[in-house]
Amino acid sequence: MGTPDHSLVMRIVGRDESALAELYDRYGSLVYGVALRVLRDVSAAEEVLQDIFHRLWNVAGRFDPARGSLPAWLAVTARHRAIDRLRQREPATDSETAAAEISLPFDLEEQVFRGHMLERIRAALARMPESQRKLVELAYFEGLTHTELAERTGEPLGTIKGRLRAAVASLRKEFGGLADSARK
Amino acid sequence: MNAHIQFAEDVDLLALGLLGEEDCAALRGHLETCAECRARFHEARALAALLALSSPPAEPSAGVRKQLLERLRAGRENATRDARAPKQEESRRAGFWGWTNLGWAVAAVILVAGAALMMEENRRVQGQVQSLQAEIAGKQQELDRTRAVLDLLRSTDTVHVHLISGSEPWPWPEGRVYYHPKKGLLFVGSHLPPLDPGMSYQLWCVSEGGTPASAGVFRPDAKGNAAVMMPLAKMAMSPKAFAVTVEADGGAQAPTGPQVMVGEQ
Repeated sequence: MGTPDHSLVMRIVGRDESALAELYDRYGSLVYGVALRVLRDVSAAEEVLQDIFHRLWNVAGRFDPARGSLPAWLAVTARHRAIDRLRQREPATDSETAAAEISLPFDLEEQVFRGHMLERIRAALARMPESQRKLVELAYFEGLTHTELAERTGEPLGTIKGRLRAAVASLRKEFGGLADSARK
Repeated sequence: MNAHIQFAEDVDLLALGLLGEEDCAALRGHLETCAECRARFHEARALAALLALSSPPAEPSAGVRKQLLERLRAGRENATRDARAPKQEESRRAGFWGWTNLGWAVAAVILVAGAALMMEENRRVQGQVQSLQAEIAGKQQELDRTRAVLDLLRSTDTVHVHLISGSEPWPWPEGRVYYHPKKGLLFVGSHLPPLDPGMSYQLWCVSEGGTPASAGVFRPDAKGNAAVMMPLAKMAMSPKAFAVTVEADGGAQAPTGPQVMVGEQ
């Protein structure tokens, strides 16, 4: 097993480039995958990938591993940054700060376990009714508000909200026992 | 409708980033005063993070890594250059103070330098403490995992199943499953051939009725070795047989690819 994430983050605070390189090797494909899914453009996604790890280099001192999960921060920040780029708006640092406080009840540092958990997450999404899953993907990976979703799909706003709440409820049912420990 | 109920219903939407600005502002105001909604929001935010993590991983071009490291080095060189400039500026200004103010200037510089050194030392020590704390936490996690594995291996009730492949040339892929009905499962594989990009191995537990359930997706290391640990809480059945197949990255709901090895109790 490799060096724990929080040790590598501390080394980044000490300006150790090899620590950032190690985290890039560990999570680069995950971050790139998120950016590519939102942007659907290799060049733009690679720019976001580089920006996210450069950002980590600059803000590592503010990241507290006791309060937040690094892969969650990387994935959520990548999603925010990619959507900001998609919608041609300035990156918002408050969403990035909030992402540093997302705590996952499992860690994804160990590759085998990471593969297992990510497979579980994808399987949970695949089990959602198609109407819910499509809506979640439109909402989460295109950054549309529920009002914009209603306009895009032609569905009533109440229906949109109901399906999205149901989607989160199904994730809560799958991971709720684990997510209880994520509460602060 | 009761305002709290309305806010509680929108917490999940806020966590997904789906509320418009006006609704966001109102709900954020409510979260500051409602512990129940705040707890729900933190949970929903963690669940929303899982959505981001559900994206299939993809390999960027090798040039991105190189550019990133070059960017870091260029930033450090600029920072070093900028750090020297203010010091040159200070010594130039000191020339204008005149001899009558020199004593005060020297005293001020000594005080400032002393304070800066103390602050730097303090920051360095704090950094070391944090680093050690992080290391200790990491070591504890590793220790807990190691204990769980040893506990499983040492138990006299642990079932040991040997998975073999009959079709591959020597050294053929093989695996060993250590399964305990109250402790979970450990799979260790060896001589696993490397896979094409986009493919992974998937471990299956097969019930007495023949229904397979996924126990994990993995890729071997450069030496062809792999390990999967599945705690008891994640096992949905008592398996009677185990198999490994080749599937697309992310795994499959049921075995679809070629079987690499199999074994039964």
